[in-house]
Amino acid sequence: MHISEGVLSLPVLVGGGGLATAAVAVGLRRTPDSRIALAGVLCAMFFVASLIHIPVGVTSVHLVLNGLCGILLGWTAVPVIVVALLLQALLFGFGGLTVLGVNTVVMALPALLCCAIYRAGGGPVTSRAALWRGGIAGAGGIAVGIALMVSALWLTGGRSFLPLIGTVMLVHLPVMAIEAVITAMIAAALLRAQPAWLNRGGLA
Amino acid sequence: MTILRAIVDTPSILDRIDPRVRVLCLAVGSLWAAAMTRPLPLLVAVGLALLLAVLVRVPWSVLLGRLVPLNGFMVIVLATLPFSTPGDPWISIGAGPGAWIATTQGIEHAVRIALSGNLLVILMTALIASLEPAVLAQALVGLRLPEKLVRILMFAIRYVDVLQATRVRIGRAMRARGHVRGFDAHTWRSTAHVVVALLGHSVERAQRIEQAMRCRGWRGRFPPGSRFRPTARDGLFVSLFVVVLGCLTILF
Repeated sequence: MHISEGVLSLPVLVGGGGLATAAVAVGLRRTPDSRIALAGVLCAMFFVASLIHIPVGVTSVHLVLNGLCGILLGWTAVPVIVVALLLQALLFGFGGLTVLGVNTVVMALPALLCCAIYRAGGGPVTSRAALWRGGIAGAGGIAVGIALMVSALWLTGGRSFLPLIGTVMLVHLPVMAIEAVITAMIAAALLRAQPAWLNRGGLA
Repeated sequence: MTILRAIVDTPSILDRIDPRVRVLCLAVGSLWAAAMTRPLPLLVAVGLALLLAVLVRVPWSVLLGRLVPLNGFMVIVLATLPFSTPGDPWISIGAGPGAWIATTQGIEHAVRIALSGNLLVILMTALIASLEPAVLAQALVGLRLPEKLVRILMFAIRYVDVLQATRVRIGRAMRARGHVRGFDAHTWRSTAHVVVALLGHSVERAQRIEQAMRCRGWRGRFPPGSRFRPTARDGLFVSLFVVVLGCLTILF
């Protein structure tokens, strides 16, 4: 889930860059030194997990898992996501330096939101609650991301970008559905295997 | 399949340029491309960036592997933007009130987007993707990026292929037991379990790394002193880069 290089206008890029820098700074300050190795390895993990493709009809969608990243890591998710996006740009040429800020905001802000939603009202105790909250976080991670992406496109091109905006929304609908289902199942499985990881003070 | 293989590792003339300088040049070039509103300078810059990629001996397969997906998106931009941008009509498909009218402003905007997108991807591939990841991380420390962030990057680079191997191994084990991916709940549940297994491996690995580092006296900081020393050659490279961008802005 990224915006390509060259599309957005300079003010939008600069705004996104500023917002991302501030969020990364907060994320780093809230990440104790002893958790840096964990953050790095999990960054590699989320990068590798995003290479997993799920068949949908004749095509396939890949996992994004920014919602899960937020649930597990809290504020640490922000530096983890910026590094994963940087790696993606370096290794595959998806996204790039100028859009790094905007793309970070597009993925990390929903991650923070998902974390807050998942942890709202204390940790879920039942498997059903984990399933629901995971599903909401999975769908929300993508939905809020699309909303932010669409805002960036709208701020750049206004009405002239409407066909592009429509395409972006259409392409991400199956992603959102798959992401909701998989994140729900991951949350339920984690609740059985490693319930502590889902709580505050677990991994983050 | 290893992931870090995606990096260009042919020896080139840029190897002798300070990596920090290469990162800075990419930053300057990116800002220039984002701020440039006329298509002609961007077109010439794309040509020059391709020339640089040839000089750096980026394999065509790598470059095409990056440019083809990008331009798939650019085709959508080029097909829609001319018709959705208001302005002076250039060409119209059909007649009457329902006609599709492409405007010159729309075409100019679409071409600008396509050119700057391609320019930035080629430039990043030529300048940075040919750097060894660990060298890049050290260059980022040299450029005063937060140490914690660079350490996350270094760990991610170090373990991305380890975890990829784990993922491939799990996938092979699943297929050996008759797992076929499809559009069904079983596939989704299995995928969720793969992610949970990967998470388990990662957390356990991170704990071992942390213990290994502590018992070797890690104090939470990179050793002081930079391994890079800027030379006259670096100065020349930066000057050339900036002068070229300046000329493109003024001449075209």
